[in-house]
Amino acid sequence: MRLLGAIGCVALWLVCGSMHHVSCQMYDVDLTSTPEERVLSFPHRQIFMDFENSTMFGFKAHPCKRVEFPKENSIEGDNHVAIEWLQTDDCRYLGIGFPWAQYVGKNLKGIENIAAIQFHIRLETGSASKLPMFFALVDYAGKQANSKINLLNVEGQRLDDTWRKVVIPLSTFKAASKGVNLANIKELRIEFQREGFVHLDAIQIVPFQHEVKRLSPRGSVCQDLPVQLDSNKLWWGLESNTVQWMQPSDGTSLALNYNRNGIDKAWNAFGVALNDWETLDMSGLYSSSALTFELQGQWAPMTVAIWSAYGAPRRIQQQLTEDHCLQTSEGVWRCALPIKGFEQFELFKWKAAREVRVTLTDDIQTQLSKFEWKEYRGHPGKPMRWLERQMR
Amino acid sequence: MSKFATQRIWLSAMFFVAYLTCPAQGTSVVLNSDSSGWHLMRNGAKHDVHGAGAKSHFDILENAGANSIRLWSTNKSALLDSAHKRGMSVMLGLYLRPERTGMDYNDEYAIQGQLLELKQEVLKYKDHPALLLWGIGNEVDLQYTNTRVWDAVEELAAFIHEVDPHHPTSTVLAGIDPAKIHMVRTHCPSIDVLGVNAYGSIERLPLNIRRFGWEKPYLVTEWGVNGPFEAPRTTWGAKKEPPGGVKASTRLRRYQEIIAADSSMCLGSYCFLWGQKQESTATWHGLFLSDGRATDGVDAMHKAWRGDWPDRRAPSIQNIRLNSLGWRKDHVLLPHSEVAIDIDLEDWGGELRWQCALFPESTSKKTGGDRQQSLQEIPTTFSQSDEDGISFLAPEDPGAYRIFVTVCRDERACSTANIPFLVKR
Repeated sequence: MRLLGAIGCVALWLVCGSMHHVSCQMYDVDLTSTPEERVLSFPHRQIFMDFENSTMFGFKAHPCKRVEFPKENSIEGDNHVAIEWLQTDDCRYLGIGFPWAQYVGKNLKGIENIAAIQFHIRLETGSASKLPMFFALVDYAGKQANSKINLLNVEGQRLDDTWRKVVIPLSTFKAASKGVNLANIKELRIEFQREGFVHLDAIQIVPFQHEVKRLSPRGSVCQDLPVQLDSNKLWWGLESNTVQWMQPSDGTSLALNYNRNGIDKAWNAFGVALNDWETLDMSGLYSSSALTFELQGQWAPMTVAIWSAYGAPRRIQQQLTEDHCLQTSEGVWRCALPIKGFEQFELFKWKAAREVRVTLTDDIQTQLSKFEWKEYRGHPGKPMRWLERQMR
Repeated sequence: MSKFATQRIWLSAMFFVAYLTCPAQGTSVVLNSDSSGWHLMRNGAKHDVHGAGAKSHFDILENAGANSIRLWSTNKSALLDSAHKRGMSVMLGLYLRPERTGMDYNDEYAIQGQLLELKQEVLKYKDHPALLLWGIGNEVDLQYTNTRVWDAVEELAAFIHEVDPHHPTSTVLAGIDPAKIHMVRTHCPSIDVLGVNAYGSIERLPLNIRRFGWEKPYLVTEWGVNGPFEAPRTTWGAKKEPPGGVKASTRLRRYQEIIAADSSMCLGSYCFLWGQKQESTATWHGLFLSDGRATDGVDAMHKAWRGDWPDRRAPSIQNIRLNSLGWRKDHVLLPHSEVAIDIDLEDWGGELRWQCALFPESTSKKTGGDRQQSLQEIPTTFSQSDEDGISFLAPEDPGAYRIFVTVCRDERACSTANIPFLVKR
């Protein structure tokens, strides 16, 4: 029995071993081939070499476009494409197309990040830093993804009347984001705008490593409250007699001295950036929060608004009324504006909160201090009760 | 011939050659400030910018008293030569792709490729004798979310300072707010002049420039009447465009009371648009009609720049009515009903002719002055209803339309007005 088992194990080992060996051989090609080899093994690499051996459309006579195939001074094959165009209101779209490899559906998916469309280009005359030409990969559902010449990938980083090699990395078409099926590409189109006269030749797919460098987005997420709105933040509108810091060294109290009929009557607004004028994502905290501050001296209505960097509405606001403020002693009020009390607060882009702005609407002489965006656990319509609880 | 005379001829020839070659060496433009404020000095002389966004009609522009044009990009560089021939300067735009057109300012490859292109444009045009200052980007802040665009603006501005110390740099904002001013101030220290496109917001521009903390000079790089995006709308969403005469008066007032009045910080302006374009309507911003005829807005700019009116002023439509209701009202009509149009006109003589045209209402959702398609006129018969009025039959098909009236003096100088209306059963 033990012997049988041993024979079985050996047999199994032999079978497994040989299977393993076979499968290694099967995958050897893909696992060890270089990206370059993978692109070079792509069967439909040549898009245009010369007119006779290529599939092309858009070359017929047109009032706004002339396409020719001159033999002289070509890079590959017997001739190249020369195209001269002038866009007018009568010809909004000008283009040529290459349904290369006889319209077969081309699968570029596996080589999207390791290949590029390469071609040679020269201007008929002069030089240019950019050309109004746009390249599109079109799939069999008619969807297209665009890219264009980037001077970084132009030989010599200039375009002029000598042949220059250009590569457009396939990844710059961003096919997935445009819904283009890279596994079933029908054609390459080139669209022309405004005017120009260029020669093109040797359009093909080549190995190319495109280094994608993405910068991280600016802005930050508010992790916890309170957010102090003091002189450590960036303010605007404080350069008048209307609004100034009580003591610059203190930086927590603003003197408001506004006269609707005074010479500074137009300087009735000021604001504070929540995050150095970048966005501050308040989406996780806004619903149970409020803007709070203290007034010392005189009470008067004013408008408090929160602004976002983008989205609509860009601004939500609330008028400060006596219902928002609790008088704590002679000439001193503690005020709270619950965020849920701002009109349209549900529609506001809380991911992109940027500024709190105060507009003085009435004559006032007071000191505004302890300005904060803080946690609020109370009824949005009854801030007075919450303020009373805070006082206890 | 004496030796002295020979020397004189030789010197004259030298001066002539120098004169011919001077333009190729460019001009020197600097910013000065004194107790009266900021000044733009061009070749040592004060250069208050009396400008327009112009691609054509240069003879009329020159006659009206302008001294500068604004180009939004280097695509039509021949216009630099056209301006130079007339002694005008050019604010030359370097077109930075705005985020709203798909540009990704987190994509280093796209950013650096674009900057490389534009740096080559700078080197190409920096010595052009018409160049006044650079306009880096136009309204890149419109509907943007990524503030990294300001790093691109700064890189170009710093590059310009390095290779072209003779021309100031500017960037053009779509109106201002505290955040944009902060961004330009802190991220773009190499920007010398702030360009602001301001339509309705021009009314508070001098105040806001100061309130938001901008301390360098500024130029109003696009201005005119309130834009379609600021206009009151009908209940069906059509924008109400003021008649030509009202727009001309608004232009003149804004120039005199806002732009010219802020001489301490404002270096001048470029009115929009010395030409014609479709933006909601074919007549909203343009100071010319699509067939090239000038409007009463051109006369207003003549008055603004020169201080007096031109000799042969265009007529000026002050009000337009449909069935006795003015342009501020909503007009809902029955299909195939008879409609009377009349206008209030100020005129200054000459032979006057009316022209009416019916168009479908624009459905374009484009923003920021992006290109919009022109509309096709709907063939309509107009008949004289009485001495001052014209009538026509409303279209049979329900929908939104707009009727235009144009009055021209001697077939040349015109005023237009239009009213949107809804045909509803």
